[in-house]
This record gives sequence, structure tokens and C-alpha cells, in this order.
Amino acid sequence: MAYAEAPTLYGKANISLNQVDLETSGEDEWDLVSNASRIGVKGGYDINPNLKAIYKLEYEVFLDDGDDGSLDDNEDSNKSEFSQRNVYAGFQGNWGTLVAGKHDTPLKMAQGTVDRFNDLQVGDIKEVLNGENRESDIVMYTTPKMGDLSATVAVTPGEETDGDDGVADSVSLALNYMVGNLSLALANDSEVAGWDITRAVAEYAMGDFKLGLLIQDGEESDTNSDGDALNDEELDGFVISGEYAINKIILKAQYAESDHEAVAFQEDITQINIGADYKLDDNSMVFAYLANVEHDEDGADSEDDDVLGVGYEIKF
Amino acid sequence: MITRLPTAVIISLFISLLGINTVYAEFDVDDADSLDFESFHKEKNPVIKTYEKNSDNASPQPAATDDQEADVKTSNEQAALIPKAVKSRYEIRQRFTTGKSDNTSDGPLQAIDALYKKMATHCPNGWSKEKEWSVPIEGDFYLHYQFNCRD
Repeated sequence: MAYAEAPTLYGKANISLNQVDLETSGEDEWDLVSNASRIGVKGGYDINPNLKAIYKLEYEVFLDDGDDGSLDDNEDSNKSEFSQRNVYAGFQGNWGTLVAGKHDTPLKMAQGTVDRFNDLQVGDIKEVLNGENRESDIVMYTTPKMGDLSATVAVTPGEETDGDDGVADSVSLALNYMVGNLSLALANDSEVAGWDITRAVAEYAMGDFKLGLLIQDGEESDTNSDGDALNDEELDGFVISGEYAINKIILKAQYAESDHEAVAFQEDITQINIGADYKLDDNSMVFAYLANVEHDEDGADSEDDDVLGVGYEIKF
Repeated sequence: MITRLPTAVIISLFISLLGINTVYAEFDVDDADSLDFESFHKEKNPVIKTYEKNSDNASPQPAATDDQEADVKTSNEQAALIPKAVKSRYEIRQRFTTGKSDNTSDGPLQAIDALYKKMATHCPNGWSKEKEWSVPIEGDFYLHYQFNCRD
């Protein structure tokens, strides 16, 4: 009889004090922000030598105020302290991994570590690009590593949302290739959150220096569930980032821009981030960062969102 | 009025009741955001089962019913061959009987004594015992200890 391994608890606490100046929403204040702090439980056991049952339950926790912001009611008793992140159950073997649940799409995860300001207010690439989707009702298969290559495909049934009732109303896939210090990924979303997106990613490490490049081309899906033509909105862009480690200090910089177009709308979005991490040990660091996103819309004054943040992260 | 506050309490209780290992998952949170499910679900800090053949390397192992000395020596050899981050988590066991046995004359107290001596040998700086359990074997029992060293 097989016994389940003891579940493993993992997670991180990441919190920062941010000086926030957001022209897009009119905020100019100091905020204490929990940057996607999370707690997760993972585990599994061998059903037989070729089949392992696996699971993962990961939740975001809100260190700043214990509120995920999903409720309008300000009463503390109604705050939601946990918000679902990636959760799944599935099976694993020499044939690959099959999971089902709620999960980041393969296209989102193909970004690797290119986004060096991931989850930070205004610093995340989601400020500039779309495709950062976590999908419910997702079924995902990842091949075993075939030499330096692996692939992941995910399908999502529509479950009658907007009339979609197929088994694969949304499809997201990614190819990953890793050789030496070079990592490449090519990913595609088809009708995921209403968009078709292609993303290419390259990462390279040279000693203490790391470089990342992400290029993306996206357009609104051709039709909605009723067959009506859409395809009137496009968002293309790129991210380039780098970091350099000097002993316990990691200096980081990132530049991203995108071109967002619709029938009667055109906007250029530009992001510039700089920051530094200071590692206290393997699990903890303090950090500081400066992020700026400029929205430059045709026929309107440009608007800037700026954040200057200092914080710390503890992994466990 | 039903609130969401109990969710946190329920999850915390659930986690504590399961006796979840909080000690050795220091890289899981990084792995969790990658498509490498193989790596994520691989034990980051595997337990060295000192009594198993081929447990972590090809070093010769003592028989399952062997006593402490050879057992400890083999584990120390193993420890030298594996990275620092994974070298200090062990599982040991000792056979004991509650009646008469052809395989051991040790009772429960002798088994505990032997296991504590093993832990002291593995971990001269002290240890933290993660769990203990027993399994029946030919009318006797194995008493298992899983522990990690305070490095």
C-alpha cells in the first residue's frame, strides 16, 4: 500500500512601503502593499512506479490588510484573507504531467524570469502587456523533458460561458527549450480571455549577468461565442530586462513598451523600472525599486504612474 | 451572518493537523511559478533512509536488521557525497519486540535508546525530530524516526 507523502508547506511574504503617484487613477499617497504574498501546500504519492498522484493548493495572502479587495463591503468580517492562485490535482509519470484545476496559462508562465519586477505595483509587465491570465477550469498536460525540449498544452472548456460549450474553447500552449545558459520559449494563446496572443521569450545568463527578452503579438479573438466578428483591438509589445549580481546585491533594470490599437483608439504604453535587491541570506532579502509607466493616448495628455517602493521578502 | 474569517482558521487547523513539513521547502516557491512540474514535485531535500540499499548512492548499506555502527558509518559516507542543502535529513529505524523474538532481544526502551544514540552520532550539534512511527515485521516492529540535524 502506498502512503501519501507529508504535505509540504511553502510560500513567501513580500511587503513594501510604496510612495504612489498614479495619474491614471488620481492616487497620490503612501501605501503599504502586499506583493502577491502566498502560502501553498503541495504533495503527492506513488500509486505505482510509473504513476504518481500530485496536488498543489496555493493561495495569495494579504499581509497589508487581509483583504483581497473582491468585496465592496468594508466590514472586516467580510474580508477575504485568501485568494486562490494556482490549484490543481493530477498525475505524473514518465509520460509527463497531467493536472486539472485553476492555473496560470502556459503562455503566462513562458515568461520565465524576464519580468524582474513581477508582482510589484506598477512594475509588473501586466501594466504593459496582456496575456497574464490565470484560468479556471483548466486541463493542462506537460510532456517529460525530451532532451532540452518540453511542451505544455492547456485547454479550457467554456462551460456555457457566453454560449461556449466545447471541451477546448480556449487553448494555450508553450514550447520550452533550454540548453546551457540559454532558455527559449514560444507560446500561443487562442481565445484565452478573448485574445489570441503569440509570445516569444529568450533568457541568457553570463556569470553574474542575466538578460531577458520577451516579444509579444496579440489581437482580440476573431469572433465571440455568437460568431460575431471582433478583431478590432490589437496589443503588441516587448520587454527587455537585465540584472547584475555584485556579491549580495542584485541590480535590476527593465524596459517595456506596447502599442495598443482599436478602431478609434491608439495608445503607446512605456514602462521603465530600476531596482536593487540585497540578499540577507538564501531565503530573505530587502529591496528597493522605482517604476514608471507612461500612457500616451492619441488626442489626450499622457499620464504617468510612478511608484517608489522599499520592502522585504521572506521565503519559506 | 456567515463570514469568511473562519476560512483562515480552518486552513491553519488543517495544515497543523496534517503535520506539514515546513522545514525543507526553501525553493518550492520559486519552482511553483514554472512549467517544470517535474522539478516542483521532486523532493527538494530527500530523506536519507540509512537502512535502505541504494537509497541515495551506490554505497554499500547495512542489512535492514543491522545495528547502529555500520548504519551510521554508511550515512556519514553518504553525507559527504551530497550537497550541503540536502545532507542533514535522515530516517532511521530499530527493530524491537514486545514478546519473544528470534530476531531481536530489544524491547521498546532499548530501541529508543539505540535510535537516540544514532541521532546523536548523525547530529553532533543536535536535532529536530520530525516524526516517528512503527511498522510490523515478522511478529516484531520497526520503530522509525525521521529527523533533521541542527547544522
